[in-house]
Amino acid sequence: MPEAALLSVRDLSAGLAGRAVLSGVTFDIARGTIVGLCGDSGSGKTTLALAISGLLPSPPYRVRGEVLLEGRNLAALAERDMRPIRGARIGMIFQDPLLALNPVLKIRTQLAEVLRAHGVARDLEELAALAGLEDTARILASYPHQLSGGERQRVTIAQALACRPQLIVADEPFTALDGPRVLELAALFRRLRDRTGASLLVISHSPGVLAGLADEVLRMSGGCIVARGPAREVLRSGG
Amino acid sequence: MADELLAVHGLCKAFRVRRGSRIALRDVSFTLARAATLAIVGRSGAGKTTLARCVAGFETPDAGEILFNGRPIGRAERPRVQLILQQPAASLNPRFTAQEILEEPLVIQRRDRRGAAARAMELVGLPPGALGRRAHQFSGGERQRLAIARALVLDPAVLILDESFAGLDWRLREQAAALLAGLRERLGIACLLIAHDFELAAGMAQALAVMEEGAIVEQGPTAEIVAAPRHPLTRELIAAARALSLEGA
Repeated sequence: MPEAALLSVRDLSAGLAGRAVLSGVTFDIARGTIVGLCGDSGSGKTTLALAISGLLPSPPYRVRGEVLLEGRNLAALAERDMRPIRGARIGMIFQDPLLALNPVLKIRTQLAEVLRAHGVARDLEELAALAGLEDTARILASYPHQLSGGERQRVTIAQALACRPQLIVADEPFTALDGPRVLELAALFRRLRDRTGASLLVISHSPGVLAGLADEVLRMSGGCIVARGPAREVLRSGG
Repeated sequence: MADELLAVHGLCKAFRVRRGSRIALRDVSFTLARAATLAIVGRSGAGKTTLARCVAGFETPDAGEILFNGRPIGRAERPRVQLILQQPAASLNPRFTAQEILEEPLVIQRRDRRGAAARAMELVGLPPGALGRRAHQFSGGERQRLAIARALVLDPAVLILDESFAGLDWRLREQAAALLAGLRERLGIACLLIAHDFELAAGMAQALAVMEEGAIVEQGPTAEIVAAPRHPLTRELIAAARALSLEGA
């Protein structure tokens, strides 16, 4: 369904020091879908996520190809023009919430900072609740170290959702979570897609979680997409 | 009990917090035989890492005792219990060569360094010719092996692996599991595996101990626990692991 595609990546390649780290990557993400991205360590998953978000520094990386968000080529934008898109149209969730949060600022300040940077007004308690946080008054008044690992992760999800992005890129969000929490987070992702209509690109090396979560899965190897299709088919074929 | 290498009895530990104290370990007891693997599983915040740090000597327990070969563990035996941290590759000094990384513990312990680095490289399946390379010149899986090799130079009897395999894809996990099985067989090393991933723990360890709020709520042989879990948390962890397996999803 190319007309309905929210994101179209076309022949995207990236090189570092003469070595190809992404080669001819082409895929679409339709509106309101969850796409899983799997592959072994070093296959290029995180590099692709960074390239989509305009976070691959050039130089040293040489990036070619197109990243079309609703038809606009983000790969051709200067960093100044990319900044209002990243965070506002594309939300990002990283693996380690402790590294993504400022240790000396309260959660309320950190969420408000995201809204202020993009000129968005929004109720912080409602935003925290959307990210699956309970007892939002306590959370907003806390510093990151006063929260549990699961709560910190939901704070970074709230940051990613702050500006109502159309696309959310989550890079290995399940790695540090125990089994029951992985299932809770996967349920939250599905709820967010249903409530906000956003599309999600979820990177994970755990095939089981993607099988239960993603509408479609892409498999990467050596910087290329080597398989795509319904989650179970792609994940089973990969062995 | 003859081959009982490590015995932990009644370990308690509390941390001071702003208002009062927070109990991290409540009367924790277990034993570890030579060449055995025991996995401590549980949800985040259950006290698993505090237990690992107490056994490794990085924290002093408030009560309880740790016996090594039947005697309270002392300064001389401490190097024989080695802790490998979460993200072990991140703990490698980027300025050091593999040789310097592997010899550093021996320098600190004032021990003979001759041949030790090459021997450790061989034990983890890395080519001794790579001793001159720096950490960033190894792949992710090789860095993992290098971190294990660094623990091996001190001739440990027990390796404590605190979430050392979290974040690895299944191929690297399988390689690491095979490496540990080989070390157990060749050197008789026992492993205490700390993991939030039940499937990984059950796949690598012959025995499991399930922790909740600082206490061990169920322990026994892995096969028995998986077949007939008694505690609600164990059942919850097993159900989540099944839901997350490709067959169960």
